[in-house]
Amino acid sequence: MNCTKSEVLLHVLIDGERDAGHTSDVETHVATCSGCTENLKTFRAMRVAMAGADLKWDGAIAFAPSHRGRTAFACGVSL
Amino acid sequence: MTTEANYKQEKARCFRDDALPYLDDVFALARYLLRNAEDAEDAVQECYLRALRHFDSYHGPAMKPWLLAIVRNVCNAKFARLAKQEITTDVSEGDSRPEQIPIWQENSPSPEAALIRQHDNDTLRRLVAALPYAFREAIVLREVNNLSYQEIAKIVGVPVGTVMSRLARARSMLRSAWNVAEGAMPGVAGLGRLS
Repeated sequence: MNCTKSEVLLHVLIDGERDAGHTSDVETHVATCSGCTENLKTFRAMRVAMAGADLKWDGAIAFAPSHRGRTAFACGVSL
Repeated sequence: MTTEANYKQEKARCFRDDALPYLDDVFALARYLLRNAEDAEDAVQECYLRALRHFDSYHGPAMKPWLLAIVRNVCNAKFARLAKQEITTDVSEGDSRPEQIPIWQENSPSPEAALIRQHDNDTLRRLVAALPYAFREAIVLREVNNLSYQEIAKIVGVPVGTVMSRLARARSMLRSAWNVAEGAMPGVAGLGRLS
């Protein structure tokens, strides 16, 4: 494992995708590499911030009722 | 009531219960891919009409990834030329740059926490929307639609490894854009400067 590989694979740790493989290799590398440790910390912080933010557009909230109604109507479904 | 009518009513009920709860997810993906609310709304409607047409023969996968795969196709077809241009640019996946980062005009953030939070959300949405197509798609499917790598790979039609590298690249571009935004407007609630 080197930093170039780790740059991609550390997202497996961030996303909790342990099945994607390479988990222990990345963990071993990160433990001994300050640059990758820093990256991991940064991207984890970013993921937390994104999870806490409302990333769905205001539009989804603002016109959801009419939008919902129209789509349902087009499909012949009543809400 | 005829058997036919009963069947139709039952089908409508199933479709409503199974598919309509994902309207917000489907809309969010379309909104990011098309970067336009009206077009996104049309795409969602087209997606649901297609889903209804094929609902009889639908036996999985899970409803959400299925709908997202449909709306993605609708979006791609709708803007095939535009998407193709962008995807072609993305093929190298090495030297893509986020599009121009908007410059914030405000002098200082509002002291109102709610307003700051709103600004945060707007900023983040704008940064995500500015990413090139393939990276935007990957990060939205992951962070907004909460899909697994496997599900994203299936929807996009690429290997899991490609999903991983696109996510890594998308986050790296977001980090740069985020820091530019933070530099333009320091102290935006909660974001801080990322190293």
